[in-house]
Parts: sequence; C-alpha cells; structure tokens
Amino acid sequence: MANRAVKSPLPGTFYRRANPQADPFVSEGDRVEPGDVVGLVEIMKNFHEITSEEAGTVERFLVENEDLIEAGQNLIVLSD
Amino acid sequence: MVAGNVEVLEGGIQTTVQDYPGRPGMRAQGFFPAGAMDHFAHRAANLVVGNQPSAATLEVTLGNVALRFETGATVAVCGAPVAVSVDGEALPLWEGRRLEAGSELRIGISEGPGFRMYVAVAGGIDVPSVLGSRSTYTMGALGGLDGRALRTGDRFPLGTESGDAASGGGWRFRESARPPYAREWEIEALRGPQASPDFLTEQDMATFFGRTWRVDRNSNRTGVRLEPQLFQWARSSGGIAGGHPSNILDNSYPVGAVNVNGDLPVILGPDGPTAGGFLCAATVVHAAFWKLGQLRPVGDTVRFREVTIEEAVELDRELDARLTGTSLEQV
Amino acid sequence: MGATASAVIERQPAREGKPGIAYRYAGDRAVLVEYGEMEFDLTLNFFVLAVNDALGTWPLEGLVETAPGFRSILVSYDPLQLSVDELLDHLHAVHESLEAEREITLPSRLVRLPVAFDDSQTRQAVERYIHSIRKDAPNCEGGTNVDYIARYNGLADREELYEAVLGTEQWTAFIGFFPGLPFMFPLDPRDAVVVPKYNPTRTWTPEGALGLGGPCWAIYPVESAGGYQLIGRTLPIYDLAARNAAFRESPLLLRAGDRIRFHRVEEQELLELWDDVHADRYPYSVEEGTLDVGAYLEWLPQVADEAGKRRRLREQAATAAPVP
Repeated sequence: MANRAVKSPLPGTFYRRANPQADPFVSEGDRVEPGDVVGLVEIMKNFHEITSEEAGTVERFLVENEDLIEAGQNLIVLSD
Repeated sequence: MVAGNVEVLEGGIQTTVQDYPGRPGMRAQGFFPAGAMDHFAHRAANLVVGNQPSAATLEVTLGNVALRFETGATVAVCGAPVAVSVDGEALPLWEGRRLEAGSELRIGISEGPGFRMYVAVAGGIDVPSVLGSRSTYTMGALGGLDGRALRTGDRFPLGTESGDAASGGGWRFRESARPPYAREWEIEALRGPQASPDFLTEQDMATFFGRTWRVDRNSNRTGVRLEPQLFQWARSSGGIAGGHPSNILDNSYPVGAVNVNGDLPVILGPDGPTAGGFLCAATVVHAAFWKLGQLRPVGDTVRFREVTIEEAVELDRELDARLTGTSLEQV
Repeated sequence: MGATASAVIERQPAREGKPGIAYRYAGDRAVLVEYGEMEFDLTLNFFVLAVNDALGTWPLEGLVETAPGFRSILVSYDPLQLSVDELLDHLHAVHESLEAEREITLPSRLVRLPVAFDDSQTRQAVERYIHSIRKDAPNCEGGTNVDYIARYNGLADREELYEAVLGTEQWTAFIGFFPGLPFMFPLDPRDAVVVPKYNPTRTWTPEGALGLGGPCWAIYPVESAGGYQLIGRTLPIYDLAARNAAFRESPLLLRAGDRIRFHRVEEQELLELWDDVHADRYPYSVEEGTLDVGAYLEWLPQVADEAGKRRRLREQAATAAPVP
C-alpha cells in the first residue's frame, strides 16, 4: 500500500493551524516524519495535537479547517 | 488505612470522581448538586461490583485513561462503547472483574455512540467527602481530587468492599437492561416553568418540541448548548429585568432546565449555575438526565418529547426497577 | 398526547395583604412558586424569605430543598414520595399560616464589610479584559468601570457613586449562581444605581470583587469569570478551608436576609485585613437582628420623592450613555 492515512484519535473540531495567524502545520507536498504535528483537535475547550504515526508525503487533506471530526476518522492521505 | 491504592497513569480528557446524587440540599447556598452526569451507567457500574448506588466512581469523558491498581480490586466499566483492557486482555463493558494487585486497566477512546464511561471499583473511590459528597463540582472547584479532573501521577484510595457477592467480580449487567445509545436522541421533557402562555407562544413550544437540535461542541458538565433559535416570544421585552424577552428577574434553576439565554438554549447540567435571570422553556425529566451525559458534542442531535408529570414519574420508576439485582447475571 | 397544556399549575390572586402566587412546573422534581408581578419590589423578596423560613419549620416527607430567588422559591421534592397535589396542599397551608406582608418580621443579621474602591486588582481585571477580550468597551474606558457606572447613573463624580454604596444597607435577597454569591439590593431607594452588564463577559475577576449588574450588587466568592461592572474589593466571603472562625460552621459568610453595610478603607489596609482573615486574626462583624417589614414600608414614603427625583436623573443619564 503506497497510500496511508493519518487518523484523529479524538473527536472534535479540526484545526490546521496553531492560531489563525500561523502557517498550517503541514500542507500538500510536505514531508512528515513519525511524531510530527499535523493539526489540532479541540474538544471540551482543550486542544490536542494530532501527530503522524508514519513517515510520508502529504498527498491531500480529507477534511477542511474547523470541520467536525469523529474519533478514528481519516484526516490526511500520505504517500511514499 | 484505606483498602487499596490506585495510581493514575493516564488521566484522559476529563475524568472526575462522581457519586450520586451529589450534593442536593445546598442550592440555596449556591451549589448545584454535581454527581454523575449519566446516573444510570454510574449506578449500573456500582451494582455490578456490589456497591451502593451512591458510591463514588470515575466519570470518564471520551476515554484515554490508564490506572494501576496496587492491591487487588473488582472493577467494572459501564457507559459508551469503548475498548477496555486489563493487562492487555479485553474486559467487556458492563462486566465486573477481579484484578490482581499490580494490574493495569486501560480505557481507549470511545468512538460512540455515547460520550461517557463510569469506572466502578468495589468499595468505591474513597476521596474525602466535601459538604456531604465526594463528587467533583467543576464550577465550584471542590470535591473529588482537589476539585479538579484527574492528572497523570495522581493517586486515590479505595473504600472497603461491601462483601456482597458481586464485589468479588464475575457479574454482568444484562444486555436487555442496558439503555440504547444513539447519535440522534429523543429526550423526555416537561414544559416550563417559563414556557407558554406568558413567556413563549404556543407556536414557540411547538417549534421547541418539533425541531431537531444539534449539540454544540462547547458542551460540558455545566451545560449542553444547543443551536440558536429565533422564538416569537409572548412578550416584546424582558420588562423590568432587561431588554431581551428571555430576561426575567433572577430565580433558581432546576437541574435539566432548558435555559434560554437570548436566542441560545442551554440544558443545565449537574455543575451548572444555581440561579440566574434567563427563562427556562422546558425541563428535562429526571429519568432522562442520563442521556445528557451521553450526548456527544460532535454531531449528535436531540429532539425533545413532551411528557406529563405522571409519565415522568413512571419513567423514573422503570429506570429504578432496572437498577436492581434482577438485572445482574453471572458471567 | 395529554401533555401539560400550560407551564402554570395554578394561580392564586393577591389577598389579605399577601401577594398573588403562581405555581409553575419546574421539571418532575421541582415546582417554582412565584410571588406577585414581575416588578422590582423588595417586599416580594421579604415575603419569599418569610415563606422559605416557614417551609423550613414545617417538615414534610419528600420535600428535598427550597431555594429562594428574587420573587420566587424553587421547591424540590421526591416524586416517588410526594405528588404535586400533595406538595401544593402543603404550600397552600404554609401560605395560609403566614401574616400579611407588613406584619412580617424577618431574622436579619447586620454584616459590616470594608471596601477599597477602584483597587489595583479590580483594575487589573479591567486591564486584562481590554487587552485580551475587547479594546473599545465603553464601560472600561480609563482602565476602570467606576467612571462608567457614575456616568450611566448621572452622578457628578466617583465620590457620589461611593456615597451611594456606603449610604445604605444592602439587602441580601438570595444566594446563588455560584457557591456563596450574594445578590444584594439597596434598602434605601435613594441609593439605587443601575448599570448594564459586560458584553461579552470577562474571563477573570478577583476574589472578593464588588460588582453591579442591572440594579443588583454582588460579591465574587472566588476568582471567576463574570459580567458585572466592578467598583472595588472587599474581604473573602467564602472559604472551604475555614481559615477564619467565620467559616467554621459553613464555608459561606452570607445568607439570604443579611443586611450588608460597607465602610471605606484604603487598599493597603484591605490587603492587611486579608492577611488577618486568613491568619484568623480578623473577627468579622456580624450582629444578629431583624427587619421589621411594616416599619420599613412606613419609612419608604418619606424618601419616595427624593428617590423618584434621583431615578429620573438616572434614567435621563442612561439614555445618553453608550451601552457595552
């Protein structure tokens, strides 16, 4: 399998940036390594970092900034 | 000396100590009762490990909790579906199991339906009782563990086991007695105290009971926020109490009240404000409070079903009848 | 399908010098008992507290608790032990047993508390709000709410506002919202002041802050969010740890029916008093007493003209003042 997904362990609101002025954590074409932060999820007024478990290149996002996401939902497609 | 010690390896999103029914009788001093938000799963978990329904449990929001037991203990987890393991071996929900000293209990993240799980331990969670209850009152920052949610590294003691057969483990809460969890909820409510005819119109009440409400992501033990709704209102203003017709002279709120703040309805949870100056269009009945604890603030929806006071009392009796030994079976 | 057609279970008209009463459903475990019309009338609160006291001395199996509001009482009960009809019968009997409003004498303690006006902590709360929440709030101009409250009420300066706070006993109508928080109203109508609340609310308020929202004064029992305009700070009124003897029997200093009389101190003195409170060196000034409702109602007309004049000035000033 060349394509893998980064999942969110938590449900909540997905953010691509640390704050509205900041650059996105990652964008299409970026290389990520295991443990790299790729987004935030807000639940119960707390923010939690979402990290990639694998190395790869961000191929595309499956969710938009501020989308509501569920636990276990695929967020990003990674390719080799 | 207490009967056991438990170490928190992972505290989770918001895990608090809760008992039932919390601190009733202190509203006139400004305390809402706190206590288990889903009082059904809380009581069921206690039943499965041979505790009184009032015993303190851990209320786990969403999950990601790990505990290490330094002494043997009987535990049960009831509530929203989630993966639970003891030293790597799966523990089904609604089932009591004896743990050896040194065991680790791990609760994953619930993918729903439902939002909260209750961890009962035979003997109960024995944090100090504050003003008559062990419940964590998040708004007043008291009770439980220093008035806050559990954190990694915390420790708490366990009470003395009852000696009831179930406190040894091996009992299960029958599937037929468990409540149905959903993503689309129907919640029983009575109208009032400030509903039609003097505050809201009949049409408003029809809208209130007729429409589907999405649960807002900023919901917690203080309140479950719904979506803004432009009501017609039976009055043009709040009169002496202020501009908007949702304003009234301050009064005490019942738990479960659907409090309308401007255009925004909020269902008051067990840690809510005891009083304020906004009207209450409806009140969730006691037998349906447990559903408030299971509403997932990511996409769940609610419809309110109007019931009579007689129906509400009957629903409560049915719920109580399911929380007895007849709902237990041996594993 | 057979649902309650109305939120109102029953209404009783005013009679024998007692206010009208409306009984409203407040869920399946409580009834909201409401007195009089929705008017800003302290007499209604006196009646509420008299009923609440009477309910406390008339035991009834299944009655869980009673919680007063400004003109109402939330009566909680266990429906498995008591029906609504039985509860209403009991409430009727209690109402029947009470004397007319002007015959009532309420137990009422006099509590004296120091206040430091426009102190550095309340100013800090305002500064934080300006910095992190709203830069252009008219109620926060100059880094304080004090000038806005004075302006909104047509008062010449801060001193006139302070006199209004110090010139009257404040009536604790009820405790609520938060553990130990008193909702207080001036007993002398000449000292009434009114102000709109913050918009949006503040995320931090120091413990012991004295604030005004609408016609109501409140003391913040703990550090918390809040929406009232701040005028200064007084002593702790809530302490679970009971560091001072005043909190040994209950973590709350105040209760409904208390009269509060503020006296002015400088901030430095207030800070020393805080240390004394926590070291149990400060004895709170609490005197037992009563409020004679008849005597109060007889006194009111003597100040009615002056109170009316000030109210008109206030209303005029309010129309010209910006709203947060």
